[in-house]
Amino acid sequence: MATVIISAILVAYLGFVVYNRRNKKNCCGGGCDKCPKTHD
Amino acid sequence: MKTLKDIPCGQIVKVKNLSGEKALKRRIMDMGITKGTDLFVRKIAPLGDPIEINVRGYELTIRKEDANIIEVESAV
Amino acid sequence: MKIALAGNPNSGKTTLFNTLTGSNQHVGNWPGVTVEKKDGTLRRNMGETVIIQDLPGIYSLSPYTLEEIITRKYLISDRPDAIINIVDASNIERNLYLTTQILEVGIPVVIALNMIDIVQKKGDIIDIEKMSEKLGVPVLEMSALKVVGETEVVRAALLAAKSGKCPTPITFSPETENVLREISELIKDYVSPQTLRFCSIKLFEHDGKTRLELPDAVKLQIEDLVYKFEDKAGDDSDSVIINERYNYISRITEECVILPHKGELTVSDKIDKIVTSRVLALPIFAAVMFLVYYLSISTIGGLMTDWVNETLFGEIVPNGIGAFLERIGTAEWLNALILDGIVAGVGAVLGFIPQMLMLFLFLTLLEDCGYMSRIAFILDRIFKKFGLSGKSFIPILIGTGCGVPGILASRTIESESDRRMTIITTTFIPCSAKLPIIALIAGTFFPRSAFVAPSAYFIGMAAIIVSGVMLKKTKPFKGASAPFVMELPAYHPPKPSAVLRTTLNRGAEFVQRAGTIILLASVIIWFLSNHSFSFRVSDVADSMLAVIGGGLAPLFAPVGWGKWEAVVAALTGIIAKENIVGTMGVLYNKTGIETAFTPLAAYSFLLFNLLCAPCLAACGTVAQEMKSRKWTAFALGYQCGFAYIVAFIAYQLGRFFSGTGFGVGTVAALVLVWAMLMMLFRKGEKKWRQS
Repeated sequence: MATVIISAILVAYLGFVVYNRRNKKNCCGGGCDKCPKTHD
Repeated sequence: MKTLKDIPCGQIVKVKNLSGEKALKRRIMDMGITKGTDLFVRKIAPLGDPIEINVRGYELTIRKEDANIIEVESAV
Repeated sequence: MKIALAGNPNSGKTTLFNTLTGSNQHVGNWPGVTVEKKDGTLRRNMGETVIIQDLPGIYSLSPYTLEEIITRKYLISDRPDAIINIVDASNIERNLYLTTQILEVGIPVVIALNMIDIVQKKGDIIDIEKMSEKLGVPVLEMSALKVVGETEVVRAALLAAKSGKCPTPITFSPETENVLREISELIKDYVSPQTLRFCSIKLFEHDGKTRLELPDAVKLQIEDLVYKFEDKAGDDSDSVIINERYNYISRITEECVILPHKGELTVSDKIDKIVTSRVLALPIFAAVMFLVYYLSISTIGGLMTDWVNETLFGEIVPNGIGAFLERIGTAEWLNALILDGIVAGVGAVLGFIPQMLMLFLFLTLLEDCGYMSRIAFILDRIFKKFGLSGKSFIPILIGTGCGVPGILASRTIESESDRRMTIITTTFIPCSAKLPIIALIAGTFFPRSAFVAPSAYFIGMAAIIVSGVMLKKTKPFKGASAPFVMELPAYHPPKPSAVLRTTLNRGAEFVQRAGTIILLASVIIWFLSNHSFSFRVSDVADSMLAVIGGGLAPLFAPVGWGKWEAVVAALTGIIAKENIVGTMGVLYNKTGIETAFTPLAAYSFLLFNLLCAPCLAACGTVAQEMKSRKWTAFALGYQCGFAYIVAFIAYQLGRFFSGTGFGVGTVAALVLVWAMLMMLFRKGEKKWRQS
């Protein structure tokens, strides 16, 4: 039972990560001053 | 014909004339280097190039080969 | 209601724009060009929607650079309701030069005198009222950094816009005004009354980009007038105008600006005397960068990372999670996935946080205090030899944080070939994602050496310079060097709160990446390395990953790490460079990373991953900026090829010098070195100018 719950949490989290990568503009890590992209 | 390129560090000179290609000349003039302006050669970079000058109260960095189009005379 | 922001680069325009619009910004491109276009709505409610249009930083409205042309076109065609002209009070004469031109456009203007705090600190005094009187427009004090005066500026701008009162343009000398008057007479039927003055002046200056539909007869008459004038004046018409503008400005500043300390060396000057001196500049630069890397990675940061890696993620976390999982009774495979996959992978990366934070801190400090622009100045001579200008240094500097904005920063370089070259070489400098790799290799395989970590930075710089030299001599990159005219801003002591905030932000982003991309990748790697192709649990050596990696491994035998684990690790770097560390963490979880390589092979591995093509996001940016499949392919191919060759030479010659082998490899390496030297020192087909 615990296995299922933890697995479900993991899958949901990873799905969220993938979804975010595809949709949201990726922050490249240079700091927002240097980023010419939209401030979200 | 003395140009800015030949001026040693620490001297003040007056701009006599500007020659050279239109776009470069215009850019240099836009930065305030015009006929009759005083230029102070503040320093020459460690490897000899570029030159740092003080013009109209602020510091400007310019390459020797570009400085060559600025004809100058001593400002006394 | 549309208000435009215009001013010199570095005048504080962007800061003001950000303050006024907050997050209500929209960023795009000006049509047809790669110059960024920013507009937004005013954050504060003034009773109506106010759009703030940010314009590119320019020194003048001449028709020579893209930014100037865009700004002119916008002001003349789009007609904002008012212009806020931001003037850097500490550079007032040159800033007012643009002002005189903005006053001619026929739109209400308000001047925001920025950086007033710097002026006051120097002890200089500016008579604002007098200046306002002389220029004929409202002049307001502002200090964008200290958030003082913005509201007043906007209010004044709205007032000016509503009143519709256009400023009186400046008056030139009588002779010039005569000609201008005649030109105005000739064209008044073809232009609007508000833009009559501007167009007259531009036509007077032989400006080719006015886009006016004038009958040929009129054009000829104007030309004739101007040539007659130039004859009499003995100078070009635009030179005359520029001189008269500056004369006008001198008259104003003489009356309105008092400089009690003129001619004295400022503190910045005194510092620069040493920092950029002939003898000391390069050694100081080398020492500074060495210290930055040494302190962050080898000493202070290193100590903390050791604890984080070995204790925190080696014992505390795995034991804690392991105990928890046992208590709730999850299946064995899930435990393995979490402990040997996620914790091992993510932990490996997170373990470097102390060093990353230290490094971010130092680099931010250097940027903030102004030292970095000095470096561009110092390195310009070297850069010039390969047709790069100090301007190319800015993308590299940004690249030490992340390659993506670094590559995007190449947009400021006007020459196409220089820009391409900068895009290709920017990612040679280690970005923050590559830092864990450096820390890992330096810490695991060379624990007693202080030079390995800084060497990564210096080799990155060398790669940029060497590539620049070699490429510049080839046909596609030949061309005149761009004129290098740059200003050095004054040093200022870094603001602790700003530095801390930036450092922590970068740290937070690092952690975020670890918790997302790396976590995902670690799970995948764990799965692929613990199951065979029939999806059954297997030994690592028989796993899917081993087979895939094993296929490519022989390719890398010549560089010293022909094992599938290393190859796979390098491959995962495509998604994010930190993954290399994460993957190694997963694959060597049980045996320990020290067993992966000999020190020499480790260094070769480091070099390869430092120099080869960057992560997917950066590659995408390269493609976006190159706008050509051919060039993108060349860029990425060059980077990988260069990385392989450098790693090869390092490994083979390393083996030779350590006495462990002399063979075909050594000979091949020597041949490559010779070839590179040849490409470096052969005569390029440069135009030799007369000295």
